[in-house]
Amino acid sequence: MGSIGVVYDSGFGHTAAQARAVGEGAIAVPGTEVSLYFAEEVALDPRQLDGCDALVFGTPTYMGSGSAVFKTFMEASSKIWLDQGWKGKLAAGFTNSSGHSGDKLNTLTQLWLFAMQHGMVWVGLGLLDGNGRSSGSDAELNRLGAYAGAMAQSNSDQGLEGMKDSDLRTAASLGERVARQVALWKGAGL
Amino acid sequence: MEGGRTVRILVVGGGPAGLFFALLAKRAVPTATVQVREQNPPGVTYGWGVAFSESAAEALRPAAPDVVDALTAGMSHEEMVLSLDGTDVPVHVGRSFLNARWTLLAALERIAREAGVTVEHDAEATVSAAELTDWDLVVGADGVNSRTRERFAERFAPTEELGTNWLAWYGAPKAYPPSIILQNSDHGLLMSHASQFSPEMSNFTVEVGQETFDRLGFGEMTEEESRVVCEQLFAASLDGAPLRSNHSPWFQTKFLSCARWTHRNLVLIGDALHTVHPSIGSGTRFAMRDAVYLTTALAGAGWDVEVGLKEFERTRKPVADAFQAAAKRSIDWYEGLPGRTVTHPTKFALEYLMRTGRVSYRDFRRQNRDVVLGYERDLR
Repeated sequence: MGSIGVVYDSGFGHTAAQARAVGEGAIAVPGTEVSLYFAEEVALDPRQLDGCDALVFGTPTYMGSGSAVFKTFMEASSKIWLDQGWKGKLAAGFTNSSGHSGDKLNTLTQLWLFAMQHGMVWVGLGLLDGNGRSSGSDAELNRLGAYAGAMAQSNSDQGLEGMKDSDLRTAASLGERVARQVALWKGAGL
Repeated sequence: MEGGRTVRILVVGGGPAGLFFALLAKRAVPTATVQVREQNPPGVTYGWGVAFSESAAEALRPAAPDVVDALTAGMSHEEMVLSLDGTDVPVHVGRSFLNARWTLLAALERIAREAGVTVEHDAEATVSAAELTDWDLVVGADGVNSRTRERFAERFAPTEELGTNWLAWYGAPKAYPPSIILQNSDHGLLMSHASQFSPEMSNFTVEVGQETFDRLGFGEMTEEESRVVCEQLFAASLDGAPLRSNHSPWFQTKFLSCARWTHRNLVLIGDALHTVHPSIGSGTRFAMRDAVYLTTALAGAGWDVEVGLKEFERTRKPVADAFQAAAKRSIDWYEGLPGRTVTHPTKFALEYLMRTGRVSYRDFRRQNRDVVLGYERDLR
């Protein structure tokens, strides 16, 4: 049984919906266990993530990087980092902002570097970019065209109902990919 | 006011905004003549219960502690329930107080009369252009269908946007915590906003989209026929309790605002000036806050009406506009619901609570950890 932890922060529920979509995508892969962990809570005891085979990190993009609360979680993991306690786990990332770019790539880069410092192995999104042709639409998977992880964009004057289904399916696709990679790695006995 | 003359104030409309302003004005200037004109006889009004969140009630307290004591003396609720196809998700969103609308009005009128306000019932609740000069200040507080606003519409330049959902405000003799009840049915999505406001009664406001409204033929039914159909549609939730009418016709939300708030010595407040939405349960509070802002602005101007009214608009408008924007988001959310598939109770609960953008996810999660844990762990 592969075990995946989705660690997330959320300001007004959009990134929470994205986190849930990652979870739903992962759990659809047989033999996968998934739990979501809220960043401010798991920051108090990050060792509860030690048993996970993969960690998927998600945070809103605020002011061009991850939220302060998510950073609190990152720093709370420093004792584990010192012992390289999470070394060899798989990792992936996702983020949401109201801006279509919102400089979200910087957040994914931040999450990737965080995983690298922990000695983890990064799993990208694995989808070509969508909505880049005249025949395309924003209903296509990966409509924001990210490779490093899953991006979403939500209008600042709407709640969760304003989340694009394509962004949630993109997040689910990331969750599914991580779950399949976990199954591969575990199957290889690594 | 000039030359030590008595301040003369006419308030058109004896609803919450008008009565509350009359009371505050009379207390601020005890020598003033303050008269309220109300078209209905005493004790006659539409609707059932009105809600105040604890923060809304406390915001009114400094202006009139006795009124807030009266409106917090009745029913109170600590949690609300989001119910989807019979599955209930209880959530903590802060305390709320409910009163029958007529109880609130009776209390406001009693306290206003004790302060020396004159309340005239069965009155022609309007004011003519010629009559404006008889008063130092005229306050149009005659509700969403304000005749005062319509009479001077050219000046106030109101804009109205009708909602696409249809609502009917019923009562039910059953104890409901504040609830949003959703039922998927063959006719489309059925919604109800229910909340107990007295030992015997709850509000039960039914809301449906245009398509469902047409499919069920509500447009051709009498008020009584609609009531009976709604009673049957929500039979599972009502569990044997009937629905009751109190002037409960179908209505569409009217989202109203005015380009200008004043005309000479005439000012609009409450629903006459701008509306919110029954769904955010704040229309009465919104209207009463207008009364507080207006009194404060006038007092700050030494009851110089011209200066005071300008100050009222300057101070109140940004706050009111932000509140209306939140109401608009709430309306949009409800109007979007019938076109979507809502099948997951916890997702629905979270979506409902995040709909106005005024509740932070972190705060909500801290207060409702168990509910969110369900959202986080039960992923299938």
